[in-house]
Amino acid sequence: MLRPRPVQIGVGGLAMCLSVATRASATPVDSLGVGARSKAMAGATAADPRDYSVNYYNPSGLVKFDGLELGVGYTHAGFSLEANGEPSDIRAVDAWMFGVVAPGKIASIPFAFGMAGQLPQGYLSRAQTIRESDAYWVFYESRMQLLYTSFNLAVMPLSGWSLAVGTASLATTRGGFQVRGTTVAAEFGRSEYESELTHQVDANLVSTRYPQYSSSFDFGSGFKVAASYREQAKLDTDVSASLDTVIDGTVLEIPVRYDVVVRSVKTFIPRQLNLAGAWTPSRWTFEVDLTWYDWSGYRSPIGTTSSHFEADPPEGVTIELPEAPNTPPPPNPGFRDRIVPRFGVEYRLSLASHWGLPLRAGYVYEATPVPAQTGTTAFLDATRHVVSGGVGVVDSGLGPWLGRGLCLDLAVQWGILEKRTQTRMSGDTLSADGSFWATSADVSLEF
Amino acid sequence: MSQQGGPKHFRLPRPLALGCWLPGLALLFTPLSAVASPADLFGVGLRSQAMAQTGAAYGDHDHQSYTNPALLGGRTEQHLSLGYQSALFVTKYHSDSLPEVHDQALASATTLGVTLPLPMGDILTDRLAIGFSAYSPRELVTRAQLWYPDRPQFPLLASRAQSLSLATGLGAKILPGLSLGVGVRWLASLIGAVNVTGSESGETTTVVRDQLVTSVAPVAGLRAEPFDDVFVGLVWRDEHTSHIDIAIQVADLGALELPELNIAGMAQYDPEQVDAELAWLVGGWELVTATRYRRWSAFPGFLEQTFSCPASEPICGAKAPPPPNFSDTWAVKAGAARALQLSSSASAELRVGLGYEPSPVPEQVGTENRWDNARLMASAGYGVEVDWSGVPFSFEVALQQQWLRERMHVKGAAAAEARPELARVTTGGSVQLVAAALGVEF
Repeated sequence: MLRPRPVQIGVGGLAMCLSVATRASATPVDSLGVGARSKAMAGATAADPRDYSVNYYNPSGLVKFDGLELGVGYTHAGFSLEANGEPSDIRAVDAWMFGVVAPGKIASIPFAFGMAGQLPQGYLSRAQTIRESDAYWVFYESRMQLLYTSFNLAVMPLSGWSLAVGTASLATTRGGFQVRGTTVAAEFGRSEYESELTHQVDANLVSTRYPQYSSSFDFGSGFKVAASYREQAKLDTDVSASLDTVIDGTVLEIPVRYDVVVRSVKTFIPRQLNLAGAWTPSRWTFEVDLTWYDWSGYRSPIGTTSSHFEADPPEGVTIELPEAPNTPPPPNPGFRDRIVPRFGVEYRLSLASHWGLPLRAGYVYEATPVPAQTGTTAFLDATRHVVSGGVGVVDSGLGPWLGRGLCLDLAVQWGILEKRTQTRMSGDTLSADGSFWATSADVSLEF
Repeated sequence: MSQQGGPKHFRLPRPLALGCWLPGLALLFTPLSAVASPADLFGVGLRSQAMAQTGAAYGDHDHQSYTNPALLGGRTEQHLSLGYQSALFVTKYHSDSLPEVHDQALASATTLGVTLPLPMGDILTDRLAIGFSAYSPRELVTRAQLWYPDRPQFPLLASRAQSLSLATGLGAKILPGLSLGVGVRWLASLIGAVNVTGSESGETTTVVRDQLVTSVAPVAGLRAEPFDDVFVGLVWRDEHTSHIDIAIQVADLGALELPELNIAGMAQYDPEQVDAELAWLVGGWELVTATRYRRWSAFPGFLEQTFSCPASEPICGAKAPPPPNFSDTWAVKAGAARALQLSSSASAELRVGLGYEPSPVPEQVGTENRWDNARLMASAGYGVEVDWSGVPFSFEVALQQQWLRERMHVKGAAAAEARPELARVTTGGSVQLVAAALGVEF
């Protein structure tokens, strides 16, 4: 006799597996930055960019380079974060970075093309599902696991004033799969491996592009200002699945059909406006950047699910179907906008006629945009302080091979999260704190 | 253009003129709503597309990292081009008992090509250049459209044209008449896992992981000029694949458990291929003839089996899909280009091409209805280069028409009994491509 419970649980299990959402995230470069020089200066380099990270911080600076520049780098970040005193399993990040700066002229007007990217080692993106009650680090889990690419064009229509437009992109999955055939119940000495199942797939890896614009102005006497704007971007994951099967219980057969559609936000990039000013007296550069993040537009990563069960048992046989989970849209997570200040300093020490040793340091203060988690969600985050430092080695004496030289840059970042304790409506407490380290190394070929 | 004599034209100051052009480029970069990238179906680069997908032996454009990275060697000017292309796939089939069924699919893409000479000195002066070629479907990275095999479909057409295609290359001019190049093509694959575990209390724990991983394929090319104005190009491209592979595992959920499901298949597949091409410059004409060998026989199939037998039960109900039995193909192509000097500051080129592409797919005599047809191709294009107020820009258009040769599939007795309406089916259709690109030297 076929027992209905296994059918219920087996199909219900499939329902559950699709009733969860992927973790929403921003990009890794938003969290850690791009390029060893910029990271060493806490990302405060938009007004005076000097390497391929210009593609992220201020593409209008592309036209200020003297020649073609190719950069490649590697970054590693390790996290030591705790939730309620327990260490969180946050995966370390290892990623390759690359960038191109190609300045030129059109009709004597400076014009440039640039591109940059960060590729997490071995993959383009990684995501893991969550449920509403799961405690997870909003900005430290999947946020670090995304490919970032950027393409930019810049022009300098007037001396000292440059403009740029560009695009960055992200990717996610939309689509679904269907399974059909006969599922054999493990009854009467039979095995589920006697099932005859086939599948089909109609899935798209979808990308979204979001524009970025920037402008800079050089006042002369070492004063420079820049403004850059990045549009909001979000990627919705949309996965559907169906199981159209006949449960073969040897003594009877029951056709069962189950359909489910899950929608959630996988990636969210807030709208950003950065204003930057730099002062470069001789060998020094001092820079302050202020970035507004429109976190109030953040959408909850908790997904919505709609599903449907159908079964057609023979007359006289009843089968209990699980309740179809049809979840309502998640509430607004209530994140708040933030202005993040960054401070960077660089001293370009000259060692010999063609050897240079730039020394760099920086600091950034990021107040958390995540409100107190008193309800059913448990988004973990805390206000953080990041101090950074770095050093470069510049050899500009490589003669005819590299006209402008070779540059090696190293950077270290140390982030500290202030301890945050929240009392939930259930009476429990939710605390979050920790720290992280990141190191980066770049090699730039300057032609 | 010359300003002496002739009528006076209103002209924007150069900085403002450039400023007006920039928003136009911005439009190409602005997020758009949907669709395609068909490098292997249509060729890459407007010149190549207009000349029946030739271009491995001669010709400058910004997508040589795909066409033949050796042609990057010796390039001395930085060049950038932005383009847009749209392809319409029309497929049809009918049988004695089935009226003609039409299907249409549109695949559009933006293209970006960049050529960057490496300004090195000494013996490397004007010898090395890198290139970057991107074919970006609107909003798509790749598409996995892998239907049940019995569903009527043309799996090598529209769905193959829906994938982001990136190529980077480095070319080196070794001798005045010899260049070599290497490159890499990039695709994305999706792998993942779903683990569902039950507990005694009836609760279910689920973890879903997905990873988008890179899939790369090398390209190597050679270009030689054995005689004056005679060029030979050879290009090898390795097999390029994009998989989707998601394992669904259900455990401890009572007496009935599903076997571990393996939702897997080949989202995109370009077979290993070799281009051989001969180009001859004579009397203002460029004449090209080429062939492309594709090793389709290595194609592993569209879908993998849905589950595998466990080690403890080596013989079970799991069935591997039948092998696709694709055949290797040799495509033949011929093209011609005629250079025209329009004025002292403007030149143009007319381009035409013809080609024939055999089908690797065998006659569908079983239950599968995965159809494909040999294609006859005609192409044409026009490119103009103008030095407009000191702005050296180019504009190109290309058109391609591919006719799917009608083909009949006659099923065996068992398959015909299962689907009598498809027992003797005739397939056909056409593919059209329209492409345009704007380029600038900077």
